[in-house]
Amino acid sequence: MTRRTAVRAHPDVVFQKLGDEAVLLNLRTGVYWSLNHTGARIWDEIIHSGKLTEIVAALQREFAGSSAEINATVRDLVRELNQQGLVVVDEEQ
Amino acid sequence: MAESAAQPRDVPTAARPSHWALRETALLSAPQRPSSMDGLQPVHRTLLALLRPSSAAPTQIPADADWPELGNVVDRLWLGARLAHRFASEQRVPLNLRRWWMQARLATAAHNLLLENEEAGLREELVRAGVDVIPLKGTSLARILYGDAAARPSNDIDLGVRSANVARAAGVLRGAGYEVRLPSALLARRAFLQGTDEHTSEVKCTRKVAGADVVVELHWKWLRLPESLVWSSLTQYDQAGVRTLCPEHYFLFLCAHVAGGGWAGLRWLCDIADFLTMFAGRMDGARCRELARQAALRRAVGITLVLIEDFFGIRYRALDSLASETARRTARRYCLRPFQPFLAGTPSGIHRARVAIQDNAWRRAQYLARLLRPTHLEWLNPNGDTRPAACAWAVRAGRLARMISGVSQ
Repeated sequence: MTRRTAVRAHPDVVFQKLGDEAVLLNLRTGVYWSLNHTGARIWDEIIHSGKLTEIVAALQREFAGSSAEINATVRDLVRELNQQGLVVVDEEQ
Repeated sequence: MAESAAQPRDVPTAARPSHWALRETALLSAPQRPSSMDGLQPVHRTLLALLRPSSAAPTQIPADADWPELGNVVDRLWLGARLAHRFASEQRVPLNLRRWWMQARLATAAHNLLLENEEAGLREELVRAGVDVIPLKGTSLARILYGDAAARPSNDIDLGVRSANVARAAGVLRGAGYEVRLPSALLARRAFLQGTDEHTSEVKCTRKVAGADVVVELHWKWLRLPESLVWSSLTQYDQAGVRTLCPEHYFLFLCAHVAGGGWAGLRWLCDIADFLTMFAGRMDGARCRELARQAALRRAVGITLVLIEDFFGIRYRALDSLASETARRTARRYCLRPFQPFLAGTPSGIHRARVAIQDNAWRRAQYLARLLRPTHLEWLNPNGDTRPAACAWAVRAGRLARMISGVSQ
C-alpha cells in the first residue's frame, strides 16, 4: 500500500453503526464482522474519504499515538478487511 | 418545589403549601386498583422496569435483582438487543450481561442488515412490476421507532400487497428465486382470497440468502377494514424512509397482531408502548376508536392498553373507554402470557382463545363462520394443484365432520 492507495467498501458489504462500534455484513458469504471504536472510525473514513493518507491524517487528529503507530494500525485493518473481502483496494489512482 | 410524578399536571403545585401537595400525592396513589403487575414475579417486574420507555419515568432497578434469571428471561423473549440499545453504559446492570446483550445486538444488526437489504431489493422489483407494496413490522418498524434497525430483532420480511396483486407479487418473488408455498392459480382465485382473514391471509416464500434462510410473508389483509381505506391512508415515515400504514392503522395492526398471538411475546407490547410514546400525539383518538369498532378490535385494543399501562406506565387517554373493567379483568388474567415467547397450544385452543376476545356475540359467530371455509391446504390436491371450489368446500366439510364426531365420541 502506498500513499496514493484508495480504499472503498466492497459492493457486497452493508454496514451499520452501533454507537461507537459498527457491524459489517458480507452479503455474499453471510459472515458479519464487528469493529470496535477505532475500527469503526477507520471504516467511517473509508466511506467518506477513501484515501489512505486522508484516513491516517484523520485518525492522527483524534487519537494519541505516533504517526507510525497510527499508520500501521490503519494499514493492518485495511489489509485484514481486504483479505476478508470487505473492501476493495485500488493501489494507484 | 419539585413536581411529584403522581400529581395532576393541570394543577400548579408551586401555589400550594408543600405539606398539602404531599398529602394529595398520598391520596392519589391509594387506594390502588388491582393491576396486571399483581400476578408477576420479581424477575418480571425488574425486566419491565428496564423496558419502561425512559420518557415514562427514570429506570428503577431493584438492588436485589436476580440478574442470572433475568438474563435467561431476556434471552427467551429476544429482548437482548433492545436492552443493549438502552443500557450499553448503565453501570447498575452487570457488565457480563451488558456484554452479552451487546453480542445479541451485533447479531441482530447483522441479521437485520441482511433482511433490510433483501426487502429493499424486493420492494424495488415489485414496484417495477406494478405492484403496490408496503413493509409491515420487521426492520422498517425498528427504523420507525428507534431510527436503528438493530434495536429490534426481526424473524422475517412482511410485505403487504393489494389482494388483486397477490398472484403477481408471488410471481415476482418466484422470479427472484423464492419458493412460494402456494400455487399462483390459487393466489389468483377470488374465492380463496376472500375466504381468508387477517390471521390467514398470507403466503410464505423462502430463499437462501448468504447461507441464511430468508422468509418473506406476503399479506393481503391485516385489519378487518376495507382494503381501499387502508391503502388510501398510507403515511410516509421520514425517519425510516418508508411509506406504510398511517399511525392509527399501524397501532391497530400491532394490537391485532399481539392479540392474535394471545399477548405472548413481551417485545410486541414493547413495540406498542414505544409506538404510543412516539405517535400518540399524531393519532386522532376519535378516529382510532371508530376504526377499532369497525375492525372488531375494541376488546383486543382494550386489553392491550391495560397491559401497556400496567407494565410500562404508558396510557393513551383517547382510548380510555376501551380499557373497560372487563378488559382490565382479562388483562390481569393474561398478565403472564407476555413472558412466554409465543402462544403455545393446539389449533383449536388458539381458535378458542381468539373467539374469546371477539368484541361481541355477532363477531364471535363471524369468527366461527370463517372456520367453515377451506384452509390453504384444503384448497390443494396432494400433488399441489388447486382444487375446484366445490371440492375444497367438500374436503373442509368432511374434515370438520370428522373433528366434530371425534369430539363427541
